[in-house]
Amino acid sequence: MSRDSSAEISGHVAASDRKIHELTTELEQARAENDLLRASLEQSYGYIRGKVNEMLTVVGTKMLKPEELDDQSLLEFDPIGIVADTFRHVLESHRKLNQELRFAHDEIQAIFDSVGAALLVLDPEGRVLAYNQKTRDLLLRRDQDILGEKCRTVVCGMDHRQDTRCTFAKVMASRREQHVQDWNLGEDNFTVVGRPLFGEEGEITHVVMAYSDVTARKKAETALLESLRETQEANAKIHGILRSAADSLLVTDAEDRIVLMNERAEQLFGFCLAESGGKPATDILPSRQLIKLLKDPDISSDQILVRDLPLHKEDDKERIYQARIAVIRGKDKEYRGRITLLHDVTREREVDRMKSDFVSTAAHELRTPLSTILGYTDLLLTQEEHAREHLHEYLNLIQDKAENLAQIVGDLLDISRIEAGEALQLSFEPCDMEKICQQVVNEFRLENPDHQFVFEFRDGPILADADRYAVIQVIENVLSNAVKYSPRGGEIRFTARTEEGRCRLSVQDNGLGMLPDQVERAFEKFYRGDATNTAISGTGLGLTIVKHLVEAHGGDVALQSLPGKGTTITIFLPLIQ
Amino acid sequence: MQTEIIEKDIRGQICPSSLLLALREINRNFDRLANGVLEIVVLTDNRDATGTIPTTVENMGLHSEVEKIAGYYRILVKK
Repeated sequence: MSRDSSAEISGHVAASDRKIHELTTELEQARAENDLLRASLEQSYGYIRGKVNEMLTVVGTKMLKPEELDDQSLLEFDPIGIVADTFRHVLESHRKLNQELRFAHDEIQAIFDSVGAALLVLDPEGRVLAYNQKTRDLLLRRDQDILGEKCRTVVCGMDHRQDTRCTFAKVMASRREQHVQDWNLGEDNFTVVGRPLFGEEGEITHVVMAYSDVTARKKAETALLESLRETQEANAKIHGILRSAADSLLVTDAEDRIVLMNERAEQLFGFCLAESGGKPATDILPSRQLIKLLKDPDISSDQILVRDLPLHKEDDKERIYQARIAVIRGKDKEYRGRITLLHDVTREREVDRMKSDFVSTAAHELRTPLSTILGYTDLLLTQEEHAREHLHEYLNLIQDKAENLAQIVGDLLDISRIEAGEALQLSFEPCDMEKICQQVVNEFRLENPDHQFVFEFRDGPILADADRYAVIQVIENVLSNAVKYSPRGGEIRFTARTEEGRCRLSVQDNGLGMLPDQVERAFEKFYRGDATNTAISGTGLGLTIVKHLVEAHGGDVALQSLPGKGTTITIFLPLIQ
Repeated sequence: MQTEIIEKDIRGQICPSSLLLALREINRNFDRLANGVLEIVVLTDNRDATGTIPTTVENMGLHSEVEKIAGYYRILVKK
């Protein structure tokens, strides 16, 4: 090997050594850098795991273990990104919730401020935590800030530990909502509601008290109740009056249904209001005439319709009723129904009929003697010679008929006085009844020779305490009837005696007699058993006058009669004491 | 409108991986979930996940229903 070659080799070696040294140095540097980088990477993984675990702790779960997720997977899985995204959604959700809460709070505050009731929010010790403007208006006596004050010191002055009406105390004791009616503060009246609010542990954290002022409502209720009571009383009075009214009353509404009927109407129609069942009156009333009347088109006018109509009562006797039908109208003039009043006019109509009969009878009774008087006076004036021969006879006849007229006029005057309620002018004195009766019977015997008069007087002298002329009038009336209603040749028995300390007079005939309903009405004025029989004279006043005269003496009169058998009239008069 | 349902089976995973896997699926589909057009059903056999997943889901403004089925749990996540 040449020297040059050896030097060249040495040069190469040296160069290699230098290169090796350089490479070694670089390698060492690279190793150091690699160690540095590895340490940094491990630190980064550790940092990431630490952050992930921090975040997972916040989420509330366990830490992420390396064996569960290795470092390489940790980067790929990106748990920080996952948790960060989750937090972003959580924060957004909370932001929305906060916004909703703020809106809800604003709403509640607006309600709290504007509600019509006084609201107080209290802590469990009864201290005021919040209150609204209405609390100032309704409960506080002066404009003051009551936050932190005990409610009892600023509102009512109650000791809630003792007062059983303290709503707050009730809420705390029961742990439930409480309502208290009629709670008073001064002259004002409140309804109080207390409601507890609970914490997470179930403890009462707040009590919300609401005070509603019901003073005006209470006054209105009281006034309304008073009005209602007055209305009910008035209604009861009206109802009582209507129910007790002597006339039958029927009220129908706009649909023609019966809405009111009194007891008389129920008796008349045979059903009560409840039984009418809301049916139209024209469907259920038992009288065709009344239904026809209710359907009368004239009824819709405001004039009161008045008609007489026959109706059958429950006893099936036909009676005459005067129906007065009036329309009911409301304030708006709208048709609301009808009032029908039925007044029993049977008796009035009968009296009218009897008066009418009386007028015709009286005219007949007056005309007959008057014609006789006129005839004979005319004869006396125009036929002097003939009259002179019969003067006494004619004058007797004229006097007789004039007495008849005087009797009729006397009866009319008597009944007129009785009707007017005037007391009869009687002069009481001891009357020898034998003498008086005998005298009257004898007169009748002379005047009525075709009848047989039997006079029986028993028990010795009878002295009645009576008006002589009244007694004569009574006996004459009774005997007159006996003569008129018994046949020629008939016997008329007059008996006088004492009975039970009274004078008993009886007149018995065997004449026409009367039916029971005629007997019942025999003493009524103007009543005549058979008014159509003009052959039998009379005004229908005789027995009426007898009854009044006897009763004016404190006596009684009785009548027994059988058709075809005759009639007995018995009179009792007081004896002289 | 018919609701779409995605089912995510993470049985075999323990906590917190099961929570993270469920949250990743929920985050990916959050808008559709929040609009009510999608529901996610998570199947897990990790009992802890039946507490952590519903709690986190409720915090995100969603709702969940947990149903125990033989051997595992069915967690329904919806609006």
